[in-house]
Amino acid sequence: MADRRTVLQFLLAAAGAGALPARAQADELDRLFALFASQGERRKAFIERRHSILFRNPPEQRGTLIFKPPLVLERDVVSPRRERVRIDADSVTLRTEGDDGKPVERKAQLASIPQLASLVTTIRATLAGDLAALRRLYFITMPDPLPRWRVDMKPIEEPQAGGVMAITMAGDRGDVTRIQFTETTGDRTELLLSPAT
Amino acid sequence: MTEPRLSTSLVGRWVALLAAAAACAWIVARAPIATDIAAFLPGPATPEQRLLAEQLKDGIAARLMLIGIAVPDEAASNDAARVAEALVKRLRVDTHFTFVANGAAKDFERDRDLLFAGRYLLSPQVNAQEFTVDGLAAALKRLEERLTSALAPLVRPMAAADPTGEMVAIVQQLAQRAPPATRHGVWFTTDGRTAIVLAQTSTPGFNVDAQERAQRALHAAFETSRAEVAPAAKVVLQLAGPGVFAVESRMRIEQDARRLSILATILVAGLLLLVLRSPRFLLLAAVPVGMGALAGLAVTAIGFGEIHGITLGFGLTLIGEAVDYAIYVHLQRAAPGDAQGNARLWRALLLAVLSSAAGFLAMILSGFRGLAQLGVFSLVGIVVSGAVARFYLPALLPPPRPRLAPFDWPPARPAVLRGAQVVVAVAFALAIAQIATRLPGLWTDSLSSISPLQAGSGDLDARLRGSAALPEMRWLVALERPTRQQALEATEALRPVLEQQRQAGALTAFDSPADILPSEKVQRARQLALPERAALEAALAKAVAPTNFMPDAFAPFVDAVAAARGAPLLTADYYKGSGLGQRLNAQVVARPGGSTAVLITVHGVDDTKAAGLKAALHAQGAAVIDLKEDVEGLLADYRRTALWAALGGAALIFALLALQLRAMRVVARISVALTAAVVITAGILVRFEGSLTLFHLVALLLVAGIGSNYAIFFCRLPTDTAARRTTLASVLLASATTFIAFALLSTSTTPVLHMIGTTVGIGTLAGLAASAACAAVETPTA
Repeated sequence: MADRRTVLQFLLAAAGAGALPARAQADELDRLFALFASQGERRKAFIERRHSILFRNPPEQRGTLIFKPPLVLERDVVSPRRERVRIDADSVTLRTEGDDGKPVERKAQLASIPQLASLVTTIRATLAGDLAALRRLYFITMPDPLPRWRVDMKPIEEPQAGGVMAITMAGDRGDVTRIQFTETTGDRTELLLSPAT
Repeated sequence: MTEPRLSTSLVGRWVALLAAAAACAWIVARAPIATDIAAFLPGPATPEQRLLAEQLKDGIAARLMLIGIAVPDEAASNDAARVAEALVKRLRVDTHFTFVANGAAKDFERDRDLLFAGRYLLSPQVNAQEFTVDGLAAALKRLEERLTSALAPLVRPMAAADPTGEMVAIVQQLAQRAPPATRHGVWFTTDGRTAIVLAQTSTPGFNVDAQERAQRALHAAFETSRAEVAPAAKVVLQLAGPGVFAVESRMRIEQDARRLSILATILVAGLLLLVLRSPRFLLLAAVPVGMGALAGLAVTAIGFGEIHGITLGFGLTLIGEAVDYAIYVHLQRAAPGDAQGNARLWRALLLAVLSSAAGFLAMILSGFRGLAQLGVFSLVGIVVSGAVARFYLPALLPPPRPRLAPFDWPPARPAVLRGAQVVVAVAFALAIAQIATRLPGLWTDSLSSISPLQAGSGDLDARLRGSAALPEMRWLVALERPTRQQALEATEALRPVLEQQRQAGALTAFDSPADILPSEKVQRARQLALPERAALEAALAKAVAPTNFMPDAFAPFVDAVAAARGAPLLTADYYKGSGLGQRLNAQVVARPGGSTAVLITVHGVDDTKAAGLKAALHAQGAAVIDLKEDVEGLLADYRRTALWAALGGAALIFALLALQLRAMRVVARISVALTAAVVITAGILVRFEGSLTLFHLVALLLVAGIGSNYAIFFCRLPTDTAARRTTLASVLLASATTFIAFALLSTSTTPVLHMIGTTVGIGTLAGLAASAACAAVETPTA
């Protein structure tokens, strides 16, 4: 009788032990996202590299990423070509240089470009510290705790062709320094962020 | 003539009447009841308009149901989106519907897949030059730029199989317009309060029974969806579309017809019973009325192959008209043996029937199928009622109890008649002034003013249509060719012209079916431009070498081009069951004669440049149809035709009177009374309705026809006081029953019936007053 109770207690303890880190992770995620939420407008220099089976060397884009909470996201590219994307709530404005060097502006609705919409939603929700919104879209784990943290996200719904099947983010305290999107095509897009100069 | 023989012939006549009634009833019972709106719209005058009319009646667009799922405010938009999603899921497995869409991204996946798979036959940029080393090098440079831009996530999935960007070229050609507004990933009105679902019924829009079943299924699916997804939310279902309107208007007409005919029967019967106190007369009076209605409906059914719901609704006015003849026969019948007195009555009766019939003749000539039906029905009904009253009633009617009018007319004191004449003359002058002040805008020719639909029905349709960015159905470019291929080739030839017009700002966008289904000629030319595998591989290797792309990056592209070279050409079947297939079915139409018509929807036409657009397309053998202006133009044409028909009808009435009466003084009197009645009625209508429509015009002729009956009696009153007061009583009673019937009709919510009811209701009173003012005692001369 006593033996049995011991076994049971042991099992319960073991189960509890397994759950503990998960609970701790959840607390840690909450703390991280609280740090994100506490910040206002952000401006970061970025380098974006696409690692793809199509390319010999990963092509690179450089520029500035601007976030005005909660809904404005701007991506200002200077190299290899000037290009500016501004997303405000559901409207997307794309400004490129035409063949004649004059700026060309196009507008679209975010929802009409689902491939872009999922990326934008994810980045906006992260920078705004909206963990609840991300949890509706992803299974989220946090292998490395603060201060030099890492967060992994996997979409809950099966991604469509070319969609994102995994996201890894890393950073230092309230700063996100690296985001990597892995696509179903096998491509990895790496976004490196540093304080804007 | 001995008693038994008379009796035998009487029995024989009644047997013949009953047999005729039974035959008519049999025909009527078998006739389909139509409720389509098109019957009361002008008939098509040009081949393009005929095509348009066909499409409006039976085309894919006529099967479209616009479904709005509305919530009281924007904050609850998620409830609307969820109910819409659940509803779409249910409707997709419902056999009443063949196609359901609500803008969810998944809806377009199949369309995209089809376009992508057919890209080398569809893309406008496919040509031999594209697959040379230079062409490929340029394409790869463009691809690399796209892959290092914000649009990379869009381009990347297709990059390996479509480095030349055929899909981008196809989509650019198709997407000239901004996509519909969405919320929560589905179509929404811009105010965020209504989620939109498009459904296409499996049965034609004009099949009202089938449409009604589909709508019932839809309502049930909505209720279940709401209960399942958002039971607590205030979510309302809104429906629009041609089929929905057809069901709605039929219901309205049926309700009106039932309600008004019961009311008219009760009121007329009550009045007759009250005044004549003879149940036997009431029963007998029903014979000419019933026989007239049956014969009218039977002839309509034979002549038109169907009976329109509005004809049934209008039929009740016959109760008020046809019962008049029974009243005249009953009250004005001469004493037995007074052959001359009866002969006089029969002549008056014949004249009354003929002049009313002349009025209805104008309706037959109006050019509207619906009005023609009303005219045939009424004309036959009036003639048969008159004949039955004349030949059947006298033998059976109870001996007339003298019913004298409570007063004599013309009045003993001439000053009273003078006074009445002054009143009518003043009213006449006022009416003329009223009409003159409104003269430039006297007529309304807009479609909405004569549509059988209630005002406002189109608003919801327009709101949902605009939000879903559906074609507004105002501008269409139409062309017709003997074969499908010729039609598609002509459509392709039209593209540069349309594009040029678009650049010039004459229009903002157009949807050409040849963009998704090119002609065989064009498809074959594209196929021939595709290189052989070895040649493509060699050129590609050279083009890739100096770039950052991996040498084997585009193997799927080489395979796809090789497959496209030997692929069968695309046909309409390729798109079966997809959204694009729906669009194709609506735009490429097989005509009854075996030819093919193509309909290109055009958006944002600049009215000031429309003439240039029409000329440019006309030069290519295509027509531009402007639904609004064309219909209004047609209506104005019809109104002018109807005006001539009305004048002809009026002339016919005067000719009949002149021929029958052969007394110019009497004819002149009657003419003055009729003219006054019509003008005063028109003046009152203009005063209260603002402007007149075609239906008012036709109804005015009816006023002349009915008014002539009163004038015929009033202008030739018998010298004998008792006979005169009897005549007066019968005319008063007859006009009262007519007034009751048309006044009731004016309460109808169906605009056509309302307009006729109002016009003739006013006209009955005006006709009575004008006839009274022109009253004269017949001078026994000649």
